[in-house]
Amino acid sequence: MNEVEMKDRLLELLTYKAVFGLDEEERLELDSLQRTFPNLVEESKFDETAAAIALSAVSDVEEMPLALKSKVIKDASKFFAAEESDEQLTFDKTSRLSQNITPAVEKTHWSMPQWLGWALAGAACIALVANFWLTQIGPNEIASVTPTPTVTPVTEPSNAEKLQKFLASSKDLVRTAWTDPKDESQKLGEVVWSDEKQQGYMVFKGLPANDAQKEAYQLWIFDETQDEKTPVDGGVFNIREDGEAIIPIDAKLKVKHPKMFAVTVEKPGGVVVSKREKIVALGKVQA
Amino acid sequence: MLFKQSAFQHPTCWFKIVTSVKDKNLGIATNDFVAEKILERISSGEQAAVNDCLDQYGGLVWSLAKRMLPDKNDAEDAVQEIFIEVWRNANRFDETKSSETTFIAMIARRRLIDRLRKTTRQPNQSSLDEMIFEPTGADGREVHTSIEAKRAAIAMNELRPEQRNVLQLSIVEGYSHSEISEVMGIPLGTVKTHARRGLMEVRNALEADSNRSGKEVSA
Repeated sequence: MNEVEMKDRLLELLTYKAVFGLDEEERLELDSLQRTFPNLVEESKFDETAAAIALSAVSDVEEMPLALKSKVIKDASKFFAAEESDEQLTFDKTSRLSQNITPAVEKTHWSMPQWLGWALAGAACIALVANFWLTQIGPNEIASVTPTPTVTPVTEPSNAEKLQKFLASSKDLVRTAWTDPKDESQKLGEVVWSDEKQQGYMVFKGLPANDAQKEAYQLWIFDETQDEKTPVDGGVFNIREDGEAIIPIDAKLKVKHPKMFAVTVEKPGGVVVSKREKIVALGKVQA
Repeated sequence: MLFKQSAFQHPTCWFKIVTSVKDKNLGIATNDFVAEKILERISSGEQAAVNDCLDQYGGLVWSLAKRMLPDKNDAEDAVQEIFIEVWRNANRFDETKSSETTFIAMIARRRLIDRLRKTTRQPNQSSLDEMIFEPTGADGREVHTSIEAKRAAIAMNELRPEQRNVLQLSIVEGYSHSEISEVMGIPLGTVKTHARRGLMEVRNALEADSNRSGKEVSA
């Protein structure tokens, strides 16, 4: 590789690092190139760009669970306590070092009564400080180290309520019935979608409950602008009970003009590309 | 002034932000201006800032983690690790380079990518009971975002659809390049090319915007 190629490769690796992450081999290669061209580009720029893109797609900020918040606060207390003791350790070492380098101008040898006197005075000081800490500073400090989380619980509207709101507020609704592919006269509910909002809901009536340990349902959206071989992943879901279920669509890519919706049965967690071996519901959009 | 959630309806947020940002006169005010200095307080050892930091960014980090790591336990572990990194790196935050929100999101992403690479990623899964019982972003709740995010949204909207899709699937959804190759039905090399060109274009746009606003401020 000549210099131009090496610089190009460095930029390439920085991009991949920010977008996909690097494997060990790539990481070593990046380290080596960065040593060769230390000032070519500011590495954090790429990570910042990726972070800004990630942030731009955050539509719903979900409240952090209270239990998790408590854990993070506890971690923080430990972290800062460790930092403090490290600082203390550094300070002690520095003190000891400075003591060592201070010329021993007066080297005194204490007699036993002198030593005892100083020991008693020291013990009294420690007791005094401990008492003061426990009664005056300690409790407040502990309170400030482990603050009580103050997260107000939020009442989330049900999917049925969200669906109602969605139906009432969407002007460009695409709406079609779910049918059983084996018997098109068999209706299984309906699917609604808004291109403008890029949101939609599936309503199922009679789609059997699945065993989430063994399989999952997955929605696929066939878009006019997308190759039929690669429909848009509309999200993985489970049906816990037979009967009616309302499930929000979680489209992974922008959908412009859906022409068909399909639900397949896949392994738990879903798949990236479906083999379409088991299609359980189809929703064809009328032209 | 905070940005309303309605302006960020994923995944078309890029289009929607364009109109919102124009309406709101981009760059005049974001919640970053309200929240800045939390990291400075943390780096100076003020432990009360921990709670403020979690109130301000906890939900955001949790949302990013859940999006990329569908396993809830995994996401929780990641959030704990991310905040330790935040405490550790708070003193490296430079407000002249980015906002606190972007800085924290950057730390979060690094940690999440590390985790993703160690595990076999499953596509984002939403079980029915999670959808019904877990508190997700309620309608109208304000989204904490940064000025860079708004600029990135505009820049994303300017990209070619293939580049935008690759960046969306990788950065937002946490897909690997081989998964994207499968999903989009394009060769691996093309995925990488789109990722690289797309990211560079967004980066250039962010820098150009940043320089422009710098000039406007000084003018």
